Amino acid sequence: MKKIMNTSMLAVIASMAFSQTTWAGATTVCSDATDIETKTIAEVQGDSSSSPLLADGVYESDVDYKIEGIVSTKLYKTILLYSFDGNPKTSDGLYVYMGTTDLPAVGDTVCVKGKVKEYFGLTQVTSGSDWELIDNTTSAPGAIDLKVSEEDDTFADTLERHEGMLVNLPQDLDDSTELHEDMRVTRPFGFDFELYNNFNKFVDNFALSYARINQHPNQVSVAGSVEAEQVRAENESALLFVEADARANDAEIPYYPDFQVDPKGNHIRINDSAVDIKGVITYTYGRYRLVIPDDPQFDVSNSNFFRNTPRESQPPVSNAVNYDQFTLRVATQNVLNYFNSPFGGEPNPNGSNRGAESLSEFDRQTDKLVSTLFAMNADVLGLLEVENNGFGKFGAIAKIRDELNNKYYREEAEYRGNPNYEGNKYAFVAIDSNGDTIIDEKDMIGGDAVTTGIIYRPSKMTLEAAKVIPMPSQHAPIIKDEMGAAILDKDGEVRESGVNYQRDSLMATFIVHGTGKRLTIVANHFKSKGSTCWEDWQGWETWENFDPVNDSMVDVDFQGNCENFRVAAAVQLGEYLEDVGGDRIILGDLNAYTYEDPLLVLTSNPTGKNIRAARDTYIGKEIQFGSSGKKITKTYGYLSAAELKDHEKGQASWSFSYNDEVGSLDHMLISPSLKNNLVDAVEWHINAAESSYYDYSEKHKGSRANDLFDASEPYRSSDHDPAIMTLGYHFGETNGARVHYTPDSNVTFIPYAIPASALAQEGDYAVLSIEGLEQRSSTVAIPKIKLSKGGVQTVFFEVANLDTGNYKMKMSLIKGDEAVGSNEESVAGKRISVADASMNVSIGKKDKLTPEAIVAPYDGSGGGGSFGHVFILGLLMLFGFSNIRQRSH
Amino acid sequence: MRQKINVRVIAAASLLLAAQSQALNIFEDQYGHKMDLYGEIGTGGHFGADYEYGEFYTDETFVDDTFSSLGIKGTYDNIYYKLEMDYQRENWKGGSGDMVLAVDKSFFGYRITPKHSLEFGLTDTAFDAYDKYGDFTFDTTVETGEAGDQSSTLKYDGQLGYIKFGSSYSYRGKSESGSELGNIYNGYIGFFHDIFSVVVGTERRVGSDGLSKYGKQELTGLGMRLNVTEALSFGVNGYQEEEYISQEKQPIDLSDVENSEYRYNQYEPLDRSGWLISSKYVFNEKWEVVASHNNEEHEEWDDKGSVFIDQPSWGAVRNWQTFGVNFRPHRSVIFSAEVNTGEAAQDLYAYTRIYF
Repeated sequence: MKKIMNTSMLAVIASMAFSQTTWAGATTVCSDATDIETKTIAEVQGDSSSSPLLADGVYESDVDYKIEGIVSTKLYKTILLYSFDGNPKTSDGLYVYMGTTDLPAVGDTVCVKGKVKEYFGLTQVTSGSDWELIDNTTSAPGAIDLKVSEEDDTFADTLERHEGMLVNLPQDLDDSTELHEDMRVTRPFGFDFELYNNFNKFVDNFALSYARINQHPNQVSVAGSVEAEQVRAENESALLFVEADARANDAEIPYYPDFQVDPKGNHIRINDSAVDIKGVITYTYGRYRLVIPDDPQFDVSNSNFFRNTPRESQPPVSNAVNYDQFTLRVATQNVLNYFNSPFGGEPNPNGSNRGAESLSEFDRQTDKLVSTLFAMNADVLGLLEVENNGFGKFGAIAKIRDELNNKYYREEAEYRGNPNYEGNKYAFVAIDSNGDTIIDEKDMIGGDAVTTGIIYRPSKMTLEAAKVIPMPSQHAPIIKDEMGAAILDKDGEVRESGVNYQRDSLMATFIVHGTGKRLTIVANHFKSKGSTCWEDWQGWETWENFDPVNDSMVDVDFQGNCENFRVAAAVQLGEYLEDVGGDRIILGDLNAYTYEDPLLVLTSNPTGKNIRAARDTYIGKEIQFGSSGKKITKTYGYLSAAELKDHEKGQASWSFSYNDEVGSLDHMLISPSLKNNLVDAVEWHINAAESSYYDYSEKHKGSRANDLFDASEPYRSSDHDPAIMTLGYHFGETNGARVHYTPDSNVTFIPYAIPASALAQEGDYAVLSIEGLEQRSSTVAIPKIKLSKGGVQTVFFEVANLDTGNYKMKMSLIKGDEAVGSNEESVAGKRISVADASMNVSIGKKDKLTPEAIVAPYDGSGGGGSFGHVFILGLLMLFGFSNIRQRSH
Repeated sequence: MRQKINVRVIAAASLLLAAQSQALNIFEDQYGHKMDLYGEIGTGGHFGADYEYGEFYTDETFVDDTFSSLGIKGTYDNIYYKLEMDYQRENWKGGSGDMVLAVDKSFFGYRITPKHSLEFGLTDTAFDAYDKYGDFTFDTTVETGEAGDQSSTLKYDGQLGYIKFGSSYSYRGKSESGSELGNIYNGYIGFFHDIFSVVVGTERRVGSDGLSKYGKQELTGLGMRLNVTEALSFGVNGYQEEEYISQEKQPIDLSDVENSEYRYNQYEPLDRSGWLISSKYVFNEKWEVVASHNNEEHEEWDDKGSVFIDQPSWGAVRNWQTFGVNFRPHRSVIFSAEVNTGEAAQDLYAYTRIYF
């Protein structure tokens, strides 16, 4: 009571009113019960997870007990009694359910009578509504700092010791180390699907984890390994859910009034440290929970959350390269089912809509997505969950392109380099799927409602080839019960028909401008972990207490469903790309964490794990492995870009949050040939870390949908974080092919990296000569460049009117200001020879923003070679014609 | 299917050792320079044809197999030449079913020595002469995928004692339908004796570089004959082939319907193999009987348990037999009837042919 008096007047008034009502329930319930045994709180709690007053398998005592204690705080129809016993192994608090709102005052010592009960794991006393006031001069003990002890085997032991107690979350829960072990947000505030799925409870909350966020076991250890099981166990024991005692309306956090006033600025993000938050430790529905009483003194504010991974308006990816290099930014983003068919877009071939349900929602989704993609500033971007409604003007991918391109409105040359410069506009990769050589709404990728897409900047890359990589389908036997009937779910749907599909992948090979190199990008979206495949049902008959109609599959290795099917996809992808060769990047949502089977196949399998691909899979109509599936021993050697950089930075990347664990489902796997090109890779935590309250949806947000939404910010534009990396290329880097450039508004920028050995000085001239201009030389302007500084640097010749074609370009550095031209005669004798550079160049036109059918070059899979090779010698060698000639002489 | 035609010619050549054609001499001088007119007329066809086997253009009980040819051939010193026109029904799978006139051969040859020669032009590839060696049947039985006649072909044939050998190179070979095959290398070597003979041949195609569905190919063939007596002969023939076929076809230009242009990619290998044993018994100059047992295995027939592939009625492997009788009322005329049993594409092949 004294604490309350020291807070706001509102709190005082409220507490006084509360105080008056609580006296109404005081009785002599304990004094009258002379035949009932009295137990201390410690005797009720014991030093284990259940009360020693209850035998094993017994959840409620046969007899009543009398328990005394100070009311430390109150919850709805509940008081928390406190009694210090000096034994750190036993809790000093006890949860007493009174069944009434007429409760004693906080600070009073009271006695209650009731049965001891283990209520879904919570040791409590279920009292009647009566209680007896023992002493009204005592004071509430206040919140006790939650501290771990050396005697705790797990953090769950720590929590168990504090069950029923009012605790405070300190900055450091472990005084025995020099580190600051605090509680970290491991799931943002939002709907608790675990409670809904398992107990049909509709609750919003957030989850904390001890000392670090919970990473999915398969994000840090090989799926199925002992280590992974240990991680899961540690994650489970480290969890503490934060609940409101008060009932909350949609999109409200009762104990966080600032969130009510300014929800956008008062967020709860994953990896925030939750400090000085007070509540009662309880255990319900299989989880320890910190229940924050419905009392203003327990309200939290922005200051209770320390932002270990603060929001960043730009992705924290480095572009730092040497003076003689430039960067290309590659990214992937799941766009959270971007469907425009109900809002003027092309019809969905399946007639489905998984996205926005109103025009308002769709506009919000579009705006937020555009904000995100603009901030990502990628040069090529794999998009997932784009509606599969064709490549016409009104398709979803065209809508994204058009809306995003509206951001690039600066057309004047002086805005080159400006983020809004029109040269940054995007085109999308399209497939002429119906083979009519025209790209339109009839061209689609596969038959799913959503598909993958690739957008790119024609100013940075030229599309050379685009293909759909067909992914496996499964046509295995249907799963039947012991009577031979198909197993149906509660809605009468077949639970596992044996027929399963996954989305085809989209591959595009680009010429990287300023180089002679090709870069192949594949956007992928493997089969989800949700629905089942044939393999998931194997052995179901033997599973204990398994209800085949309603229950989820047993998932011993935490890979979710269909991992064997995803392995089949990984093999198909790996094999296909081996034929493609060159620099390759596998992008997208592979629905597999870093150390799950599909990723092990695509990268490496250092532990030699037994990995199997699903049975009865087909690529198109071709059998992939047959009716036994296949043990997969071959791996494809790709490198996880994010993981490579994580090791350098000493951090862990993640892109997705599910329940209380985070991990990377969104990957950027590079071929080893790109390892030296990799500059940086990040997963930008704008989505997975954030509450779904901030997304475009207007459902379950009551009247606060607009308060929560900010179209200008990228946060929660999707449920997946984007993964972004930068590749560094040397100017003119090539494996022998011509270095490719495209003009910008008729000006071609030819870089010239002046090496340190040239000892360039201010006032020196860089000159460029071009072979191959022939009669057009008079129409081409090739300015020389006077250096404004000395030392290593890259200068750019702005060559005007250079037609498409092939040329040889020579760059030279001329000493002093004597250079009078760029021809050979004028610079003879003045050239700094060590600075000479040359390259074979091709000048091409920029790809149009509206895609055209791209004919892929021959992939070489059918053998062949130039028709011009006349192997007469081969003919002669076959049967010794030369011998015949000798004989004939 | 080009090889089908050549098979027939070779079969005829093997059958009619005694029935040499009576070519019409157009020109001949004292130096041995000459020009002859030659040809053949054939009529008949396939009775009880089974369309499922993929050998015929139409699903009819009877498929006509009319075939005629007319050619000139001649020599000038060591140079020889041949021009041959075929008029035939395109009755094979994918064919039009129409009677079509086509130049079948047009080449020059140079005889280096009497037993060593070079040819250039539109002619048989080297192995084409022996790919059916050991097969005494009149109609086609086990078919190899050998390239057959090709233009822009340079061919060498030679002989050293009992050993014959040859090789050829064809620039940008084409299938019967005109699809690109790529350059073709082809050769054979064999031991030829009156009692026993054996020949092995091989063919390599480099592939069409994505211009058609045909990728690289490797073919190996074997043929043997054993003449037990003058009347009784046995033969063996077999082949093994790996051919890459495109799984991906992308249009480039469809503006000309007749000459649409495509890019082919994603080639996958297909394995095929086959063998036969055959026997011939010659009663007299007019009558002989021929029997054969045939086996073929094509990877594309094998469904491998696929839910998508309709395996043909015979399965992945087929076996069939032929029993034939040949009657020659004249040395240049032959009537032939071959009954097929087992997993055969027809019930009966009946044919009449006159050579001149």
